Amino acid sequence: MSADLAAAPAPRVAGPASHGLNLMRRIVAAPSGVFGLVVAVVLVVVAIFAPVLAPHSYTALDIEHRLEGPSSTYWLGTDNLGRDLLSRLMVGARVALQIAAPAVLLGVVLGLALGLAAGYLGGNVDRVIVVVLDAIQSFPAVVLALAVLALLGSSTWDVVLVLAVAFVPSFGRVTRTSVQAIQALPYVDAERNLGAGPLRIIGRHVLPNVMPPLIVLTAMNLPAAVGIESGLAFLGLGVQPPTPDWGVILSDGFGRIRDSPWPVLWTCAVLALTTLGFTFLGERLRDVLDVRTTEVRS
Amino acid sequence: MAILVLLIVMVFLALLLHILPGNPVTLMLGPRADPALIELARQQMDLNSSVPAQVWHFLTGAVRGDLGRDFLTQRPVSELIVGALPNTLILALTSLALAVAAAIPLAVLSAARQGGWLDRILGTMSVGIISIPSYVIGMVLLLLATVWLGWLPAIGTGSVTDPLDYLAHLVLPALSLAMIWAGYLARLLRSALLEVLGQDYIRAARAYGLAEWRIHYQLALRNAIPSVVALIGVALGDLMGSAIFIEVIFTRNGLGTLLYNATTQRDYPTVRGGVVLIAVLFVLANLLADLANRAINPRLREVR
Repeated sequence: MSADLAAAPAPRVAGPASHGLNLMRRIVAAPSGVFGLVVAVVLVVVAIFAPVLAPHSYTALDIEHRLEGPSSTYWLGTDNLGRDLLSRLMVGARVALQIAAPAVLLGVVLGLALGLAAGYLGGNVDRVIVVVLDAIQSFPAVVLALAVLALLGSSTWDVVLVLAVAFVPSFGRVTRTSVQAIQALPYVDAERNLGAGPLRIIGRHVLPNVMPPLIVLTAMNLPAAVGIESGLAFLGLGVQPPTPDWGVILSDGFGRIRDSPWPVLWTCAVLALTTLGFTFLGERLRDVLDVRTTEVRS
Repeated sequence: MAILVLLIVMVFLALLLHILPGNPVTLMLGPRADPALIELARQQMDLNSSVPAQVWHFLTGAVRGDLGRDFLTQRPVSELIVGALPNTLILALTSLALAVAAAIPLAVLSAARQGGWLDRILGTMSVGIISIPSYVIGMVLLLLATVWLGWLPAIGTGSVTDPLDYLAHLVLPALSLAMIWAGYLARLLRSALLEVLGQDYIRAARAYGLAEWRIHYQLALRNAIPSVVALIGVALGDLMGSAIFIEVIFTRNGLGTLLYNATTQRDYPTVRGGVVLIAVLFVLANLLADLANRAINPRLREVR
């Protein structure tokens, strides 16, 4: 018997690697998926290699050529101090991801923990967690950030923490709903009756099923985090001027908008491309992973 | 439930001073402020009472409409808010009205030809535009209108006594905010319409020979709208948040500019008051949307 099995050709089991490859193939099957993936990859590569890729130093002043349009030396033009806009925007990509990525990840972890607790334990724990999530969601993320940053200094970490808290409700809610739905399934009930403990139920059944909606939501919340973070920097909160955050570049350019539209124009283009790219990627992921989200952005 | 949420928000805002590291008074007045001034600030911000007493004072004060004093101008926060609120409300409601006005025909037209070019453009744009930050859209509109077209007096609030002037200043900010939600609302209304259009009574209406526009605009729309009304509460809350950026960009007076100025000056009483108000408005908007939904859709009344 065992010899027969060994002789049979090895069945093609989809390992993690081929699974990932398959996922990629399905994402790029639609134009929006291609666009989203390209934007995401370019952004990450630029963020990682910004100091190498940038044609100029992002702090180098060239007062004689300030507020100029695109030229062969400065491909996107220069800002009010004659600094190269392209280089500043490239380093800005790094700043944006350095804040948005940890913020969203922290939001996922906290949201997952709260959602699991609420969905699995139920009862009063559930009620308390739901009210807290409702309270956080009862004002827009920007307003929450304003209230907290008015009391804090403006370090990068403060922004990360505030954003993480603002994103917890969306992750927590999705987790809680999926946990409740999965627990009600007959096969999970059957396994519990066979003596499976909570760790096994959560690890084997709940987590794998919660993951797809969380992945989609992460892709959707990442551009929101970038948008809020740059917006706060634009308002003078969060990342401060010497750092070429997109919000800082935008605010510098906005002050001189009548002299040169280029800084504002390019920064807006980069912000729009980034948010569009990640959102389309998220949409595509949702279709591919076949997730139904009813979440409305906070 | 709504009241419980508001209560938690207010307790949280009263406690925030103590949860976060750092001293709000030194942050506001600088490290080398006059001790007498520090004492005055501590007294006005009620920092000398015990922590539970502070929370209690803030809550009872807020219920009576007393949100403390703005430290720099020494005017009551509630007075500042009452002065700023109408401008923001007008902005938010105008843009919401514009968004709905644009969304209805867009939704009907794209639902009428599912998979047509309008439907496909709407499908892509609605997802895209809502993800773009509001200030980017505002900025681009500002560039387009003032810098290149030399159009409209774009900056400022306009005078309240001259309605035409006020309107002219309202156009661009309201348009920036409306664009964000028009596509999204249209998209949602479209899927609701498609669901309704597949039902039997629509086929019956067609069989009776009713004009196609009447079927779409009268019969189907009436049953599709409730699913979107619930979202308008969320939209209004979101608009209040986005309005902060739009007001700052177009230097328009309002709750957003008030909050922004208070934040840059670290004037916590005003920030706290403004945030409480936005939370109240947000909860209220959701409550109203819920009530409106029940008024439109009798089936919801019986369920609960």
